[in-house]
Amino acid sequence: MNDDTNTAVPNARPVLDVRDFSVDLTAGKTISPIVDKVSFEVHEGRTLGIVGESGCGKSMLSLGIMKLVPSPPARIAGGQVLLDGTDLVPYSNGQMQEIRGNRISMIFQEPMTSLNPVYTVGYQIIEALRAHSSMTSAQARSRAIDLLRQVGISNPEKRVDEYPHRLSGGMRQRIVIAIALACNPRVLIADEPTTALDVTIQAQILDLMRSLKSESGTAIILISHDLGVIAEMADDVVVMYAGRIIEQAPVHSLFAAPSHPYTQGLLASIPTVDGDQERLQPIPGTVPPPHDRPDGCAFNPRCRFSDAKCRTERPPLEEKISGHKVACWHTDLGAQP
Amino acid sequence: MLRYAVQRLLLAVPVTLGVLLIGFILLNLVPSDPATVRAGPSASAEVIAQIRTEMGLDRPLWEQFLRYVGNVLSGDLGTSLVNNMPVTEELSRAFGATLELVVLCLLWALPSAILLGMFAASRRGTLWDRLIMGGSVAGVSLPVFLIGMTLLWVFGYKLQVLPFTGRGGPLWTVDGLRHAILPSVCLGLIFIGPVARMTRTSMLETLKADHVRTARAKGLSERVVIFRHGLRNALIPVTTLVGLQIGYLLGGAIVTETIFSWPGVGRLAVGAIVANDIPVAQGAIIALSLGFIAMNLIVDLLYAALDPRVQAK
Repeated sequence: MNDDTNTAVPNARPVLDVRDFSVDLTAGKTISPIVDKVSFEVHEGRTLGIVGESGCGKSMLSLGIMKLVPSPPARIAGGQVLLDGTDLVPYSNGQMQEIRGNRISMIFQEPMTSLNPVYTVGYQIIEALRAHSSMTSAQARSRAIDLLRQVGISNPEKRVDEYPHRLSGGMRQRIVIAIALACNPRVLIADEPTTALDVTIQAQILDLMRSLKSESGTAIILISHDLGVIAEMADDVVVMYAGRIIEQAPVHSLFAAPSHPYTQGLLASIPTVDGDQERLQPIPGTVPPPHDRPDGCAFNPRCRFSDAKCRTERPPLEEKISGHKVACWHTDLGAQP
Repeated sequence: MLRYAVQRLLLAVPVTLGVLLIGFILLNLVPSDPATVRAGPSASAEVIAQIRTEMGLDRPLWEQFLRYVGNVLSGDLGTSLVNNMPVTEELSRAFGATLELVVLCLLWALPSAILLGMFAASRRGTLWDRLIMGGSVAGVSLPVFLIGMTLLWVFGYKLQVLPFTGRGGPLWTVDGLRHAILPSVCLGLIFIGPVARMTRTSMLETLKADHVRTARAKGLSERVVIFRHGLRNALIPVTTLVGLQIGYLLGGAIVTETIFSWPGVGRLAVGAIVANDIPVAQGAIIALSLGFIAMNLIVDLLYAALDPRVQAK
């Protein structure tokens, strides 16, 4: 977890302010929300972690902020994405091209496939640079070499002309990060950036992201299903379930007092070295698909506290203690995991 | 790249030898005696026997083959049994005509196929997509002779807008080009179908790839994403298919040339086989095969130029 000096929420205007943001998915004639009225803020130099199981809408949310949801079948259904106070939702694709890779950039999960195999890594960095500035190709090339050095690639003058297939997964992810950082973005969205990497490489990449954040003040949205990564990197955490935020808190508060039964379940299913439990406790069942979400609280079929109210009424996301919001009818019960 | 090219070139040598062997065996299986053909219908048995000895046909088969390979390597393909002309001379004339036809066909059909495939991919599921894909099924499944005859009947005979027999001179003259249009359209129609289909599938596949998403996330315009990051990657499997299709194209050339009386290698081969003119038939087979090998060599090099991973292997 981050040092305490960093966890106080700053009062300044957030870099990115997402309000009631929704994404719908059309399948045949049914339209179902895959991201349902999600709101959060990200501040300069801080990291927001977004956690949840596969299928909870994390990736669609991040693609939605970039307005890159595959459309059709998906569609941004409403809400606002305020970047430094300007709403991006009404932006045209042409206007978004100015934003993407320039003021908001993205790192993806699969370093093995997220680079184009037929172009050199240098070309792919230069392309991002020249899309958003009037650099000459010589200037862009020397900036690309600088970026490679900055993300910890040895011998960057030589590597700049390599094709992606000649580099390891960790190196490719560094290249992807270099591309994302090329234009000094205000916001960096990292969608499971370390999931496909070895543990040692994972640590290196996280280190790199941390040092880049402290150097540049970029706001980071870190999407992960790995609570260890979130605990280590994030300042604030959003827990998503079935397209909605069910718990939202500063990282310390979340790990110290997880209040939603789902968050508690997630924490209980992590193995601990010193834990005295014999077996891990998985959460029974799976995330319901978007077209088949239950009435009331979406988690109720898997929840051990669920009762009649949970099955009919959807709990609102409410602040229980300062800065710690939960969407559950039973937070008093849930407080004892 | 140079090493890769040399490698490919060396691989073409055993293939060429194989072609020579198969061509030789096939024509020896034909129930016809070259000596009888050369001697003419009224020759006596002694004359035929003498010609057999002169031609070396009384020697064992393997010896004949070795001598044949030796001759081919020194550029001697023998003389025609029908008109005593050197085979190389007949071939060089005919090969130019076939090459003209195939190149003209590729010039219009290859870009059309790729554009149609891309267009269908970008309009996926619409009426346009269905029309193009339906048309390509017709191109794949209709036999060449039917397409050829239809073109000939409609444009040559009914509408009388284009000439439909023979070659009108070099391609860069108006008459030459007019004569070449119908046969090259006929050839092109069988080529477009599979290539357009492959381009569409490959393009749809590529546009779903992670690296295309990365390209969009960089803020590149949709045009750059599709042409620079989509098309080049999508063309890699298409190139492989084009290499294979060129084989069909040369096969199709035999039929097309016969329909439109185009004086190319295909027509030469058919004429020679009908007349039992074995040296010319063998020569035509070798020329068509070498053409196919050469085209494939070009495709292989193109493939390596498109995809840096190929050279690495």
